Amino acid sequence: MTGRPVTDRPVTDRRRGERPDALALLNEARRSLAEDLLPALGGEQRYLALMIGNALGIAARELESGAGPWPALERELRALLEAPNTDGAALVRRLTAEIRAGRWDGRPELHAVLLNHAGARLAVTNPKALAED
Amino acid sequence: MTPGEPAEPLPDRLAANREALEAFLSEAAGARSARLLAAEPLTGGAIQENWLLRVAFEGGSEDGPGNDSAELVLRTDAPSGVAASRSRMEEFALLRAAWAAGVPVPEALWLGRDAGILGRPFYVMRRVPGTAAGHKLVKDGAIADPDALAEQLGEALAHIHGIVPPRDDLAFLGAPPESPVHEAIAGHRAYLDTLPDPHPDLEWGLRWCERQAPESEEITLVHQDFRTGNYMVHEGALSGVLDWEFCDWGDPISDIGWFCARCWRFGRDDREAGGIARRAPFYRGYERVSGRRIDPEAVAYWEVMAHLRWAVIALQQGERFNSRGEASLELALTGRLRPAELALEILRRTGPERWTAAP
Repeated sequence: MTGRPVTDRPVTDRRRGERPDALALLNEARRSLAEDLLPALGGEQRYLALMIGNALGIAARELESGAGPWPALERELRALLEAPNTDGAALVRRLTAEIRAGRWDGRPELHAVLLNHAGARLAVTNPKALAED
Repeated sequence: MTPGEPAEPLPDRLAANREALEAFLSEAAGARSARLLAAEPLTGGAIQENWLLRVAFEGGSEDGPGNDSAELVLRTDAPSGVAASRSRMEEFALLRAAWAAGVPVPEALWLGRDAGILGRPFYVMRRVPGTAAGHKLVKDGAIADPDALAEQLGEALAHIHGIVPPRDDLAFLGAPPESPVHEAIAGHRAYLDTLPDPHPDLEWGLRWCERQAPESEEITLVHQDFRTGNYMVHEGALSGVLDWEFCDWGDPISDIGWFCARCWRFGRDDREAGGIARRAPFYRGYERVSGRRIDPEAVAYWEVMAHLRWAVIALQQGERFNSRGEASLELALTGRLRPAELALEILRRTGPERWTAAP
């Protein structure tokens, strides 16, 4: 998958020197599941194996995405809400309250930010769905 | 099949209650005796258990299934059931009402209220032939005449919507809502408020729905889970509408939006009526039986609501894993995957150009 450029990789950095790293292990587990195990399975077991592959894929892409899509959202919201020093979680909470109160009705600048964010989350959870659109 | 036929070993849960269950079945059917020949689990929801029973009746009355062995389905709560949906007793009443209204449903036969029989209330219905699996039904060639099936689905939904309040037999549904839309929005917001993380994308969609809400022109029974995957198809024809546990009084267009919503097309986005067919035959069947004209704008609105409702349900399923520690990869994945997918769809359908109504 492509996605955003990787700027920081906190989880893998913590394990510097250990090879293969978490991402390599997850990807190899996925490959082995798909190529060695899946062809031998049918019915419910096949469905379960597909779900396991899906879960491993999400975990691998989440690792690969570094800090993930939330810091980017918080950065954009700090600018949008003109609150440079507010903590990220509090900022998102403030935004949801303001949306409910009608302060962001139909405003394109927020819609664009939310759309980007949903796309970035989907790049981790289901990049195929993103590609199909 | 004769009453003397050797029975297969029963699953533990039913074997422990065999005598009580056989006595119940025999009395309910007006038979001299009933013998449980076999029981196998059917795929059900995470909330209910369904068992296919083969029962040999002896000396049955005319109303009962007769002297031969009968294939019946027993539905009861799963041990880890979540108390968020209709009880089995209420579901039984809904199935009877739907049957009487001409909806193709499994015929609900007998209600087991006595906790002494299985430990939980249950009911028994006739088995309906066919498959409900959505991913199979949407495959090319799986249904000989998809338009005909879509039309039958439209007719069935119209029959459901022919059930209107007040109804003594459905008194448990409570008073019809003043405004189904606003009650649904308030319910979704109240749920989001219980979660540890905020969801600005869903909030955006909910606010759009609040502002753009159409007036509900009438209140009828709504199924609230009428979609591909929740009805049985046998030889290309609709054989039974299932999963009545979310029924309530509401806006009938909400069911049309749920059925057509993109999230329930099983990947067949080109077939807007449930991944089965175009909308036209579905609408045609609905309009002919109901006598209502379907307003496409109102359906489009309810499709946004459908995505929001599914997102909230997906979050609830995820929370069963996150907070309640229920061991289920399916719940975990649903909670992680669906909300982001649904949010993207919601945002695309509620762009700035679509905020038209005055606040």
